[in-house]
Amino acid sequence: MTADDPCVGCASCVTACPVAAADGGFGGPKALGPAFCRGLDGGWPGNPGLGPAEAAALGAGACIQCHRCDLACPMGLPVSDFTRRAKALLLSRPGAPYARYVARLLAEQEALGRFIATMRLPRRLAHRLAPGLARGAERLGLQAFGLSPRRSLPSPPARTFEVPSSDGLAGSRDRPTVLLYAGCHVRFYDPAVGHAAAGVLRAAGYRVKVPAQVCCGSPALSEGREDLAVEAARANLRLLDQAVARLSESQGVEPAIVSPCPSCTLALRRQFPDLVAGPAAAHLASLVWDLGEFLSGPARPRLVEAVQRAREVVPPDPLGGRGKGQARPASGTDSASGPVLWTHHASCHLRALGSGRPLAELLKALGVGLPVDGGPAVDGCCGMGGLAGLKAAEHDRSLAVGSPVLRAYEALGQDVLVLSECPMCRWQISDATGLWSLHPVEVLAGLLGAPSA
Amino acid sequence: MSGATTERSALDYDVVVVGAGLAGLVAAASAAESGLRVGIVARSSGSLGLWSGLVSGRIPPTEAGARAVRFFMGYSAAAGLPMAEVPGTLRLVSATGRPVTSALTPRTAAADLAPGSKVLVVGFSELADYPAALIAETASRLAGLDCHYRSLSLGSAAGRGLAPRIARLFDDEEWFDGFLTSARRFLAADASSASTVLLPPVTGLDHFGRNVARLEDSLGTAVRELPALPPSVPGHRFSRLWRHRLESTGRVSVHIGRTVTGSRVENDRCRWVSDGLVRYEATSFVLATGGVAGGGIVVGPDAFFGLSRSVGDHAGLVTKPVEPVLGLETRGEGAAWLTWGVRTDYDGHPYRAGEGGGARRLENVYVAGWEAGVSGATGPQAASTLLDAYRAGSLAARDACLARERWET
Repeated sequence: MTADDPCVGCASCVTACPVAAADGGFGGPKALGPAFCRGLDGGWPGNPGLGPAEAAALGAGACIQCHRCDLACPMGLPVSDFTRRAKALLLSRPGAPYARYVARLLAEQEALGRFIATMRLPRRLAHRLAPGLARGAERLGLQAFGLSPRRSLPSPPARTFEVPSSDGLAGSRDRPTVLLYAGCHVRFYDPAVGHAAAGVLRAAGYRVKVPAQVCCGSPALSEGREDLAVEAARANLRLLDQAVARLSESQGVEPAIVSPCPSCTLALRRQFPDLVAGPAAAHLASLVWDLGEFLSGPARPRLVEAVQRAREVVPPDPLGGRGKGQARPASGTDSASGPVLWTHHASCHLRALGSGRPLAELLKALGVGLPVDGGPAVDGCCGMGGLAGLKAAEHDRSLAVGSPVLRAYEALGQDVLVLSECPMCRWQISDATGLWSLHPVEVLAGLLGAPSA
Repeated sequence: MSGATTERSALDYDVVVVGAGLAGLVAAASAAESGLRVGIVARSSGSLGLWSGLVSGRIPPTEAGARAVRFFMGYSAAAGLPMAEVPGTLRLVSATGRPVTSALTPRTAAADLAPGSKVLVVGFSELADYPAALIAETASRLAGLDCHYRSLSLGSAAGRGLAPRIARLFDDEEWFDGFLTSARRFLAADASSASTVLLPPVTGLDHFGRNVARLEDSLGTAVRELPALPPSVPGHRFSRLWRHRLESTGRVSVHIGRTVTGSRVENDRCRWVSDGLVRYEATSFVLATGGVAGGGIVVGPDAFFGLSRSVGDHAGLVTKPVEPVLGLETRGEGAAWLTWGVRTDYDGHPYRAGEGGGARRLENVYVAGWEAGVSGATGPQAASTLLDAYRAGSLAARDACLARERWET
């Protein structure tokens, strides 16, 4: 224990690690974190340092960068930064070209997302003409990419994510413009969440602009590709700086940068300043908001007014029409058969932000539906681990890590709607339990009658 | 006194509790009982990952002590962690077999091991850092128990033997059925001649109560969990179960991962504390930042060499990271760093450092857990932490309620 390395080896991080609980072969955050990094240079002259072989022997690849170890550390160490270094070593192992290929693919989320978005129309056509064949082809595609064919790809959206350009015009002090950092999932797979977020922000009196952006780099970081994450951070800093500068000039105040995705928020706020030295990243980080924090903070008074106004005009449809045509329009969602039963899943990265559960609290305060308590087990990790759970090689471990959470949700019954800010949690929970999941802002959009698709 | 005021938003609570360890969670629970809005702001979950789950020390036989105990037991049971309802202090042994006492004990750990008791200490050969043979030997020698020990293998599923992994196995019903069969086969003979079978505290994170009960049925003997070295599953159970119950009331928001770095003090009252991003405003505050193990007190190298310095010039010796933020006075006796803490008055209001010899107190702040003087040579024991925290939470809530009434009338 020194000033630079205050780890006392207490193993609190181990108690909090969802992977160590599920996988007996995983060395855990203590062995792979500060202790491992202390051994990197061998400790004393002539002693060979720890390397890729030792990282592999401790199962470093299984770390999903959930940051729960960071929140458990009494000394406040970012334990996951250390485990990430051990994980990155794995990619330098000789004989790991396939692992490198899959890691690269997931790390290059921008390219992967663009590719899948281009396949949107052929996919839609194929799903309409020959659904069985289309799903078979998708499974083959997933396999070719090293991804699990047992995952169901999100159904292709009708349109890509766009916000009316008139919205992006200069805001004013009275009606400032908010920059919506939508994130890859909204941009390429689930634009409905982005539209809902924009609609709710607009109803709360903001103009919304979607600035030019690329992937936040969080997937690259999780895969141990810090080089790619630095590239992503630099590119985003450049793009967002421009957008901020333009708006600051025209509206007289710096715009807030708001993201519906907790992992993007964590990257922009916490990781960019670590990856890119200098005041620019730190300044940008100070403008970044988690959507829930923003809606329950500065936007709250006008949002609550807007909801109350909307309730006077039309009977609320908390699901914003999304209940129709869903594979599982749970009976509880029908306004005729009583209130919507919902529960909130706090993703690991939302926890890492430390913002609590602002949107769930807002929905409770607005008296939306009937919140259901899933018990202490659902406070755990769903196991998806960002994109890690999509890998063919990680599929089983992903389900094992999440099994207490997934079983607890299953036990709630099929009528319960799971609300989570994290797209990958929603994916995992819906995939594994068949429960229906939404981003909580979609429920807010439904209350406001704002278009969610 | 106050940090940089760059916060861009404010959260408004009736009571803000700084710290999420034993003191923080108990204070938050007691404050939230009166229907107030409570915010917990903490860097991490403190030293709960190290805690054995036993409440060391003594509960004073006063009405206040009884009230705190009633509250703690009721809340914990509702959270899913029932305490044993036995009067008085229990005689137990520690993770190394030394005799310890516990004033309040989780039901699955509650045994009273009188000298001469016949005890079977069971170890799991895969479980790391659990020296069953040493525990049995030390307990025989120092606690006067008639100890035997047996080691049981859990099989390859235990992997490297990290405690959370084994707890997860116990929660798997199918695996546990298999374990029960082999436990009966290998332990029944020894267990029948013992009055208590002691297991490592890894019988599950969720289903520990049920599992221990099934083991008792199967072996026909009392089965209890011993404390263990960290990573401590009982401490983790407490942390997650209490936090879940706090959040599920809908009145408590938990901000773990936020380090308090600034504050505003006006007229001897704290207006808000801040993490540089958000201001947490409240009518009253509870300071529960803990001791050395939880990172609430930082010990410099001087502390170990007895290079005592006078109060007010202890930078680098022993500091409490949060207190300089609020400008509080810390006190302690030289090198005995476990005696260091914040100087408070009878009600737990901390004194401010600086002019007037620290005669001014923060009127709306209560310290829970690490008060100088109360701590004694071994630091505060869990029982006094718990009592402090319950009182700090209720006093903070009382102040907030009075302020509300004044506001409304």
